Amino acid sequence: MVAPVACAPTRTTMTEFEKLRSVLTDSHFLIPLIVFGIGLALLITLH
Amino acid sequence: MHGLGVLCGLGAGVWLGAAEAPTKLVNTGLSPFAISLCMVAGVFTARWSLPTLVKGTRSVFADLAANRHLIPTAIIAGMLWAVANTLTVFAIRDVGLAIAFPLWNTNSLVGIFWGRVLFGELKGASAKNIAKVLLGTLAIVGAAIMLGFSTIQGGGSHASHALGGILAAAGASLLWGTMYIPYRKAYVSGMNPLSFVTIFTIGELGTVFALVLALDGGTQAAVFHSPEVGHMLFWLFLGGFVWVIGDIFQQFATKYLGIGRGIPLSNTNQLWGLAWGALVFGELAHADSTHRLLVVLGSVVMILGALAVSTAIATEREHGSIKQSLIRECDRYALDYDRVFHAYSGEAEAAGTGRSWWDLVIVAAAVGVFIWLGLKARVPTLTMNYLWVAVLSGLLVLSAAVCGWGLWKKTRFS
Repeated sequence: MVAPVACAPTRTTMTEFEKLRSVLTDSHFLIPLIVFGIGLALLITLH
Repeated sequence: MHGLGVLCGLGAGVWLGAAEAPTKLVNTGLSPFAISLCMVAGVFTARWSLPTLVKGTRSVFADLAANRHLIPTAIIAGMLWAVANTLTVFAIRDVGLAIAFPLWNTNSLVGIFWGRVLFGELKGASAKNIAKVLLGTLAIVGAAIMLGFSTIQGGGSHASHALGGILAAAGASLLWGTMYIPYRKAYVSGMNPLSFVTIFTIGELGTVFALVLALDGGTQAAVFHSPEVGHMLFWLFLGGFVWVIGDIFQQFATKYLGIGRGIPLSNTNQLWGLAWGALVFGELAHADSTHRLLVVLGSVVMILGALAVSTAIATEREHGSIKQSLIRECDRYALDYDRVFHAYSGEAEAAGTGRSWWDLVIVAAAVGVFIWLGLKARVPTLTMNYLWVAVLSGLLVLSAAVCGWGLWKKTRFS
């Protein structure tokens, strides 16, 4: 299992809005969003 | 935690494979969109039955409040599942299961790619472990192809829409492989799988509902008006119930094993799907020796593949790269590393523990829906082997009990 680390993250506080903005520009969100768009376009084309 | 993750991955396979069984009892002229909507409505309702008893809503909502920023991530995962599931129906229609199934089953390879690129999975792993995961995954994909072929009777020409069908199957693979990015992200950020599933089902339901409204006749769609729907809803809801239990185990497998190891193990569902089809519904009764050989070979290869993936235990160096993905999340979203680390390790002290009276009301309402639909259900005239129904149902209960007990004992479902 992953061991705890001594070094703390550099940021300590963020507002919920800042977090949300950060999510929406995160590759972990953008890649699924783009893939969803591709899938939806495919579905509409095949329908 | 590796052993627990493997247990959950295999348990997910047992349950996800069985989810198809109730839908075999439905023989209707409804569109793929309508069938998808009914089943996902069942998934949504079932989420509020047994899983609510496992961890009360107070705990789930406290976890969601602590991870509000991950809600869009869980919703997009549900949206990906819904579109991928509908694409598979088009793929089967246009090129047949024999071509479509192997294509979308490569989602585990897509998952391994994203796991490596985005979460550092297998980074720093020994050559032996990398070989075990890759070869094990390829074996499971290959075995799924063999089992898929064993169920094909006759074949048939689908050449007129071949390109569209292949694109649909490849698209489903891409979507289902990519769907694990949100899964994994939630867990390296310290979210609880039951909270994730709660939002995931909302994303699923909203998307299939929108698809019916946009592409299947809007409010005039047959699913909203056909009197036949009432008689078959119970079976689709039952399929949804079985699916959601499997998905919860799949979520825990992704949390404790990662994407690269979690997906191949839950993809063993093909073996269980075939077991239900062959033993309960007699789908291989008229199969020739070639088809029967494919079943035996496919089953053996799948078991060997699962064994290879299961024994690829991450080394310290690989854990080091996983640790980096936790630090990345904490740094990007100003999260408390200790809290995230304990949640990721299954050691979190859940906020808002205990169940409330409204949990019982919610569970009673969800169970009531199932009973109401059961009373309206039309029992199909299909021939079934009830001895095998009992044996396979017993295996379902046993696998859920073992996985549930393991999760409870080691992590309290955190």
